[in-house]
Amino acid sequence: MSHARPLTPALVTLDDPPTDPDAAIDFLLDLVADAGRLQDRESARRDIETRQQEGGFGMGLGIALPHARTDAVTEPTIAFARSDTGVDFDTPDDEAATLLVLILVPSDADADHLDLLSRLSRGLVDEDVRTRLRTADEPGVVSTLTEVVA
Amino acid sequence: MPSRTIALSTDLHARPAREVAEAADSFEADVVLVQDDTEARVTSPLELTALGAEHGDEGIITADGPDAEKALDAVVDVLAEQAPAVTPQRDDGGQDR
Repeated sequence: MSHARPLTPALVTLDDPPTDPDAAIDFLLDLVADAGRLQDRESARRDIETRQQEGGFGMGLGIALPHARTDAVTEPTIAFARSDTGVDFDTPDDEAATLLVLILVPSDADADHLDLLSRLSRGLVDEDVRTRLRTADEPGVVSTLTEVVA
Repeated sequence: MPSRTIALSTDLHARPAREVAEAADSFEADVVLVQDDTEARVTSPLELTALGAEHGDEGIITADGPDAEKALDAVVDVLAEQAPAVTPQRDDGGQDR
């Protein structure tokens, strides 16, 4: 079984995503598709939508973590974008999300999903990590995220 | 300060973390969940998911403030399926899962 890294440079962009949450999710999915990691875009979008209806993706502190378990990927995959204006993901603390991380994990990988989510969360609760992700250049973002999920 | 020990009714991923945060949000109280010596404010979904806690893991919930008791009850309702896991009772004929 191959083990691709969850994050590659192709999965990070510093381009501003749309400010509408659904469009921002599509923007992140484009990164995954362009990186050649998406088997079936439609089913990925559906699985994310289902997750979104169960509960939103805003996590507070300016972070949104849209996510799904889906057969559309064969390896755990994350994609990153940051927004200058912020995207309203309906967060409990009412803070618009400026750091967006899409998490896609194969359907049968429940443990991987929780593991990746908790690693990312542990990293992102650290203010220093959030500042680096908001200010670093692209290689800096890639290395910071790679440290976080390692 | 009221506090309660619980066994988690679910893996603490994003959805339950947000549910807990929303349940605690309306009360005038600071509520924290401590699990494996790590503390998370229950109003922060991110801090909760950072715990990486799984179904059945034990945690201690502590509340402080004018609404402490009510806030504690609300959070326990979401995080612990049943009453606090003090004395597990066997009524299934002793069969292990």
